[in-house]
Amino acid sequence: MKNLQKDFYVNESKEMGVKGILENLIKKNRKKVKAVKNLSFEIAEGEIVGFLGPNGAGKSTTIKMMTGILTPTRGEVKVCGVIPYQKRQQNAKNIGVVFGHRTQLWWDLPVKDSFLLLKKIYEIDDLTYKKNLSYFMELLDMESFIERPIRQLSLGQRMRCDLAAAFLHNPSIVYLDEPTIGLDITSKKKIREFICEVNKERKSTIVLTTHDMSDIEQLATRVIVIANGDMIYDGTIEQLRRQYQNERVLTFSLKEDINKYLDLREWKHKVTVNYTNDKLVIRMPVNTPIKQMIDWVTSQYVVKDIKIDETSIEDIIEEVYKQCGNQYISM
Amino acid sequence: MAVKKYILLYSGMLYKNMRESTSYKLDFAVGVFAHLIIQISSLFCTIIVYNNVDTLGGFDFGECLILLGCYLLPMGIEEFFLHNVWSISKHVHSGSLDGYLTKPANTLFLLVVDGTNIHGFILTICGIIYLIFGFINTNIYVGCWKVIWLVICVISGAFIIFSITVFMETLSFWFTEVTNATVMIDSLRQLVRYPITIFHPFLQKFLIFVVPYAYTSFFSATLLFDLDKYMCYTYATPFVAMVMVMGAKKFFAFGLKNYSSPCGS
Ligand SMILES: Nc1ncnc2c1ncn2[C@@H]1O[C@H](COP(=O)(O)OP(=O)(O)O)[C@@H](O)[C@H]1O
Ligand SMILES: [Mg+2]
Repeated sequence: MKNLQKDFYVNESKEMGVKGILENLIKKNRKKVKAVKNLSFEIAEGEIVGFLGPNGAGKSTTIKMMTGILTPTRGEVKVCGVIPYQKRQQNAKNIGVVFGHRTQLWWDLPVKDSFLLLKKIYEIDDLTYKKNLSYFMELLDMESFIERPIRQLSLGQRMRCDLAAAFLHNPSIVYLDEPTIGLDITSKKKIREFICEVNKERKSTIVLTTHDMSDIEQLATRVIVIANGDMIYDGTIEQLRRQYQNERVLTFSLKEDINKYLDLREWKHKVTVNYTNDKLVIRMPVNTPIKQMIDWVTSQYVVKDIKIDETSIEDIIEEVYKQCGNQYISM
Repeated sequence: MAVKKYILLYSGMLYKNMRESTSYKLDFAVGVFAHLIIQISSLFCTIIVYNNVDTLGGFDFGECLILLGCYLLPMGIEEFFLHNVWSISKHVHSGSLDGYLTKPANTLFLLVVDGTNIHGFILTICGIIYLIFGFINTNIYVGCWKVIWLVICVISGAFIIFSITVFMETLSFWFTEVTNATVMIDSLRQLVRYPITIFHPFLQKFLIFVVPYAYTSFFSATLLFDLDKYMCYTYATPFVAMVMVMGAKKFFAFGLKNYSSPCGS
């Protein structure tokens, strides 16, 4: 995938009320929006790649170009050697897709029948179909609702069916656009386990977008952060953490109120200290060892308790988004 | 190979469609009943009209009944087998086209067969009834050859209606909502339930060469009446249908490049 770009035309309406209605009918108020600007990346076989980015960043648009739904304005996409928007059918055989917002299955049809129809569409042979179906039924616990129509399933059940449907034909790459949106913890967990298991077992490549950082932490071997259609980070989650996580926070609860200041000359100006009654809060860079600090503090005070906080992945992502937000404003 | 796949797929979809349309039992029954009433009342109207005039554009009552049968048959087949073509713009508008685009079969095919209208079945039955009544009221000889050509013409007619609808609905890739335009063009089809000879020559040419609805009724009827004057049009019908279907397919594929799937979906 190289220099991928996509422009959209959007309709904007400035007037309200009757004026707005008239304006809708008469004026042509089209405006060009660059949803994806110059993305380039490559994904290796078997990877689980997490797409991150604030709402409207261009994640879904990128996925839609990779699946062949949208034709890029400029640039090229290639998936398993096929240009998706030119050879849609050939591409479709290799891929599976789940859009969290909308089911791909038939609304009024029992789940079982939907699967059978997909078997016909994807030309899955009987043996593979049987094997996959029983395997997924067990992994995703679908036994109890397989005979019901999608319309009568809860969101969690529906998402599990969609997931199974996407993997039914042993696709080599699966796109999951917010597969955990609106789900409770247990459903999320089940879905994560499933993705992990199938990735290991089948070596399927998985590209997923999500706003749930624990999805990313537990699944993704690589993250790509997109904001305003630009890529701002591409690498492992550990690297991301290292890059943006700059400090650790040590909180000491002391037996008595503090009566003397700490001598921190050894750390020069790298650490900051905050004293409040019986609490001592020290912020220090990640790369400085904390053992030494703990030893030093415990030798100076009578310490009741110690708490060590790392910046959570949520905080890091928020920081990343903030930074690109500032860039956007200054543009 | 490919043909076999599509036939298998079609049978699967047809089964699915029947399941879907019968999954709401009451709605299904009411639908059948309503369509029957519509057809019966329109039959009465027709009888009243033709009781007051002897001939219409040179055709008598029995012949007009046959024409009506020829008009209803392709329409019924189109509605029953290819009905979902009417929802192309709906799928473009809502973004549910995404699902069809990520499946390994022809997008237009998948979309079109994904739904049926029981109405079509009733129309087809009515068409056959009209034909039978027409033959009773006239003394036309119908041989094997004519029956074969009638079947060919009816199927071709269904595909012509289908192609024109595809053309209109495909415009939604540029204008998003086009149902009204489609309905407008389709209402031209109302004209061909009457012999086109009653119209101004300009309108006749329009229905033959621009929006070729004349092929969906009139030229299959003239075949049965042994009117040699129109024979070349009758024999042209399957070719018109083929050209139209190929054109519609190309146009749809062309429009697809312009598809902008709505965001948040
Ligand atoms: N069909 C469309 N028409 C106009 N603008 C669109 C369309 N689809 C997406 N966009 C715009 O492109 C940008 C990226 O959207 P999207 O890819 O859906 O973001 P997200 O990262 O939240 O999935 C947004 O600003 C959105 O408004
Ligand atoms: Mg999105």
